[in-house]
Amino acid sequence: MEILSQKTGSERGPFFEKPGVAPPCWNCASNNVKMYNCVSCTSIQQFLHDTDYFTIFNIGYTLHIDPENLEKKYYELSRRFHPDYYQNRSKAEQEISLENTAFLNKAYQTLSDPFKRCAYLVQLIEGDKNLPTEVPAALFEEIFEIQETLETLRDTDESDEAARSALKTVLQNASEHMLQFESEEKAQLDHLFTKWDALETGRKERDFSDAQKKLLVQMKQILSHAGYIDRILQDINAVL
Amino acid sequence: MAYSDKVIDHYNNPRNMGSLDKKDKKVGTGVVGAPECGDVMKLQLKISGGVIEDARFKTFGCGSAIASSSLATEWVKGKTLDEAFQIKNTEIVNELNLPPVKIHCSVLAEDAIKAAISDYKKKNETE
Repeated sequence: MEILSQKTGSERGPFFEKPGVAPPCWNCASNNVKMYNCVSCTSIQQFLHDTDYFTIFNIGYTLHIDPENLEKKYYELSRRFHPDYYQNRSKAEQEISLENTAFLNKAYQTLSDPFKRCAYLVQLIEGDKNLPTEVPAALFEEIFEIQETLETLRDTDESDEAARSALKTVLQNASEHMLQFESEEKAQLDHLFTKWDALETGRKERDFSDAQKKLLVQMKQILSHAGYIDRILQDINAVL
Repeated sequence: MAYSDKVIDHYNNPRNMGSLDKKDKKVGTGVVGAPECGDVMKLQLKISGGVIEDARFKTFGCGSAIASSSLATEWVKGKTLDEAFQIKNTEIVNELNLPPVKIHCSVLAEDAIKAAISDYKKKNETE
């Protein structure tokens, strides 16, 4: 994925804000394109093929995002692209409105969640690299223990109320411990976001500093745990 | 996409499910996981004279992950460490007819074998 090609998010902004940044209109080839619409023929314009979720909201590659600001921008853009407004326009414009809307919705969903947002940034910068598959032994041991308890519960006869409720208490405690662990991880991630954003304000062009790259490694570590925690919590909740 | 018959067979009749004594010097334990879906897999090998004489697995995950690890334990038995190290996830994919979305399950099984072997080696080089 070659997304951070030449310019940083803030320079490209919503890329039609400044004249000369946007490519010519796909319909009439006019260079007078502003904010996703061609001034000459009024056609709706597609997102650049290599744009990314941060760029369309014009928030730079920052990890702490003001949810209200994000929501506000999301509604603004939603209104701009909404397929209802293009019902009487050409087929090509209808398609662009649909595509832009779908992309926008995905962008909003991704950036709204800190874990997804961070995972997306990692993917943007490092390409489609997978998260590390090694996991701290302590977490793994706990997960195996919980899974074994879940198995025992499934194998325990429905009529054996006492045994079942004892197992459920164990699971309840395990679930609380996992939630605790999750919130600690969230706090750590939050801390890394702060460090990242501090470095981000001084960044020029697409040069992410070594310090930022180190932060990415730490973030990936935390992100790689999130899937296991989600899964085990889901599995516990399914039986409680 | 439906699971292949071979996956279903391993799922319903898993081979070598269970645990070996982790503290045994002859036993190498590999624990790996798939962060995307939260599947976890433990694979243990009992090694004697450079040959794998027993293998056990415990996998909490989808049918394909269970089948991949079950198959892996079948395959490694009787192999030397070097031979077992050569097992490729693509061989597991072919044997089980895994669809593209389940390829990571076979990768997990390959990683687990390698992790178990290196755990065994680490355990035995120090003394």
